[in-house]
Amino acid sequence: MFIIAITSCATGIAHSYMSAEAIKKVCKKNGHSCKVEIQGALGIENMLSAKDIAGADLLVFANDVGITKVERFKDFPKDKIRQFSPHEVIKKPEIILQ
Amino acid sequence: MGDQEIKIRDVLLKELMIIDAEPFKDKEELFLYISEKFEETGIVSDKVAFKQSLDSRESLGPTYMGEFIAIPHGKCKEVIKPGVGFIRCKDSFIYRSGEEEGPVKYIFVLAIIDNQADNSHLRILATLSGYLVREEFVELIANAQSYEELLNGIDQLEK
Repeated sequence: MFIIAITSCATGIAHSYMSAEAIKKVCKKNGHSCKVEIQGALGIENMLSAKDIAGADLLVFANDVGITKVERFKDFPKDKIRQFSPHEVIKKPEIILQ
Repeated sequence: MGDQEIKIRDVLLKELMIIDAEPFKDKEELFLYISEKFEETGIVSDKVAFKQSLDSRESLGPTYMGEFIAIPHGKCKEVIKPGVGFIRCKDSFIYRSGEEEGPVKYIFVLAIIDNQADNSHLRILATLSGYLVREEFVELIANAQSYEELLNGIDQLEK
């Protein structure tokens, strides 16, 4: 699968970056490719393009504050979207694949 | 990136690495200790304000990360320069955070400056946060016997 994800947290540093790494790690371990956008204190990093979004099999939101430019995903199949808090993803990364 | 001039050692400070701490009674005692240390080291100008910012971050959600790790962090105008402290306790103690609790031995404390312009320091805090989910890093923080060993280990991770 090609998995895309966006992480974002309250302070914009710790959980955003930890959850991004956790997602990359669990994808690699399970043989999936992924691209993770981080919306944090450093702005938007590794932004998902229209092409990424169109080609993705799964969309994971790991956020506890609002997502910027969320309109990009309005046509994404609802049944392929997973929503978690960054904390949940860090503590149990496999949940994104369940 | 233009951020090369700032190194991990400028942020993860030697004076704030404590590798043989007695376990704390609870999170409150830890936070008081941290705030004191961060004021002594000149990272924050006011320990009371920094303690409040740690507490206020706690109210947003748990900073207990499992695997014996906690990452309390505070962001306030009393942070003079961004800094990271690392405390390793001889034994674990129960760390209660939000709805969660668990045994903690390794504590990374982040003091985040309330100023978006300082990206180079933030970049390092972000990088360090990312390392925390890597087994090699957890092994390193569990075993490093000195500041230099920790820093060298981090250099190896970056390769």
